[in-house]
Amino acid sequence: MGDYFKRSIKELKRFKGRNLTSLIGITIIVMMITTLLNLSLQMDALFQQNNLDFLNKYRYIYISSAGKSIDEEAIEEIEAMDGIESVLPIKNPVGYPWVNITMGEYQILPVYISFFDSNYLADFFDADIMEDISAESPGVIVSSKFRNNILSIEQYKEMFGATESLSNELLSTSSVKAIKKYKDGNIPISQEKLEMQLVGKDLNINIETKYVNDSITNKDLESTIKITGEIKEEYLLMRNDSILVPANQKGKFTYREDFPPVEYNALYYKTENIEDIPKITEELKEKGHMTLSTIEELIVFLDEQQELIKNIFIIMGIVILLAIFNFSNTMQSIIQERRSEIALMKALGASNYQIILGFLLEGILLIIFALIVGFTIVTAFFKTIIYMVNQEIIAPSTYRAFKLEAEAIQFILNIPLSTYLYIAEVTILLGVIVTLIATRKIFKENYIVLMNRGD
Amino acid sequence: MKSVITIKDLSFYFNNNQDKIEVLKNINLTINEGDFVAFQGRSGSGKSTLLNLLAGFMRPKAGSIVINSKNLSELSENKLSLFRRDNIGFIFQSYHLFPNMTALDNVQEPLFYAGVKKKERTKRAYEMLEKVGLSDRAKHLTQQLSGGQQQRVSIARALVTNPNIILADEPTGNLDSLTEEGIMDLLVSINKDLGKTIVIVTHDDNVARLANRIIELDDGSLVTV
Repeated sequence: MGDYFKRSIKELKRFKGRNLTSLIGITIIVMMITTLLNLSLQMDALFQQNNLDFLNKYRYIYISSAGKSIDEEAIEEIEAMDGIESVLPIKNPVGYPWVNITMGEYQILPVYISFFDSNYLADFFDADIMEDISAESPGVIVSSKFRNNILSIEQYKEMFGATESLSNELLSTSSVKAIKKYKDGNIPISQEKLEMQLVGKDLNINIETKYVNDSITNKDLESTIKITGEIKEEYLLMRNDSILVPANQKGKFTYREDFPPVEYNALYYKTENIEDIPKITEELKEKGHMTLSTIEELIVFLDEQQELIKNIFIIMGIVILLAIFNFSNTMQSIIQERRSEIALMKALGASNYQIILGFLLEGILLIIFALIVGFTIVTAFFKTIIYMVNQEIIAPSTYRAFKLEAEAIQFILNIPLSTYLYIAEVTILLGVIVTLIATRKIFKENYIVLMNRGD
Repeated sequence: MKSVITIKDLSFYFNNNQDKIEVLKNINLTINEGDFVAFQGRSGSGKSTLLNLLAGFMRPKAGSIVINSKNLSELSENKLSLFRRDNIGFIFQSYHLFPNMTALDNVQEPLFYAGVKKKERTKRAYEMLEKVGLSDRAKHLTQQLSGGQQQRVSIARALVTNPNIILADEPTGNLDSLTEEGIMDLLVSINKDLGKTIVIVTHDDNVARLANRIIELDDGSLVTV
């Protein structure tokens, strides 16, 4: 097989002009398929999780202003509306959601953090403000990924009434990097302790975690949790990917220096009665705080996005057909051009299998080169696309209501390995089939071809 | 003496639209081991067609060709190719060497198809090039060789799998008389020294005279055997 491999490389070099053109063509197609497949799969997953079943079930509504600021005047206006019990404006840093938090000498973990005013917080939860919390104290929204790190599924389900949909997934890439950085700094991480004292004094969570192996995966993470007091639903406000735990950390809170200053850009409001939601949202829309105010409008919006996904799949289908056509043409022309060579090979005693194997290897090598180049480029390119999609498509000014369960919705920034493998497998398989079809004429070639061509 | 090629009631024709053009008519012939046979005849007499049929490049319309106890008509295209590899060396009038390969690589080619390992392939190909007096040109691309040298490479390639039969279609047809002499001397020595059975097609009397059997064809039939 090694001989055949070397030969195929040689042949690819011999026809390098045409093969380079094919390589560029296949590379572009691989890039397109990879990008489109990821966009569509992830958007589909996003919409699956954003199902509408839970609308009108919960009193806690989250308004995102899609990066725009919500000023004090708007907050007061919303707070004064009929049917609204209280509001909790939040500063969500856009673009830098993950930061490290140092808890005393023990803890560095990546945490999705938002800021809010503790007065609003206390009001929202009907809680007393602890003496040592100033008006500027930040609250912490601990992400579901972080929560996955410190709670077992059973613990989580017990605490939050989560459904089976919770998955104890691996840390995100950014989390891994953050922890690695911490570990590489030679700071002991065998045991971690996170103490949070709730504003309302109802709950005291004491969590101890430790890595049982010298590893940073969840599998190697053991955690125990001690909870005193009672968890009330009101303390657990869910956003799509985070849980709100109003807390006063004992220790130092640090964040990256390049963390941009942010304005209030999101807001939770609590209704007095769940029946008031349609009326309130309609009013919010009229006041310009929402672009979508009814479930019907939300359905239309989501349908439009689903339509986009359908179109993406149609484009993918066309692209794949073009790819097959292009590759088939290339292989046909290679074989046509080398008919007299094939006839000579057979005259010298080559079997059909040996000749076809050569062409197959050439085709597969061409595809593998294209896959490597395509995947490399698309990986670099993909984050830009995702950023644009996040900004332009999936973050309209709308409202969301969320169940009290783990629904970690995240438009991820990296392409899963399985996607690469899937595309590689399908592309190579298609390449093999197309090459086999193109080489079927080889069976008919013989020395007479040489004579007919006047060689 | 043992017969290596037996042709029985062989006929062949081409279909030209609805017309049937008869090329070979009821040929019967036996060629023994170690023979040096020359097919002669005018253009269109069917001598090249007969050689192509012996090589298995074409199929008889009637009759049979048995080579080394194998009836070629019973073999599939693929098996015919493998049979040719092990039993027949073919020398083409126009050499038909791979232009992108060196002389050495060209000679190795049949061994590659026979599954011989690279080291052994190179050794045997060198030996063959030495036999035809071209070992110093082993690394040259075939385009850099003269016509006579290319034909020598072609002969080395025909011999490299050690077949017992060599078929040559006008092997000196494209060469000048001096080079022709060298090539024919080589073929004679291959016949005498290596004991190979050689069947050659030529219209050149001087070339034919070197054979120990001259078979003349006229209008698709054997005239002298």
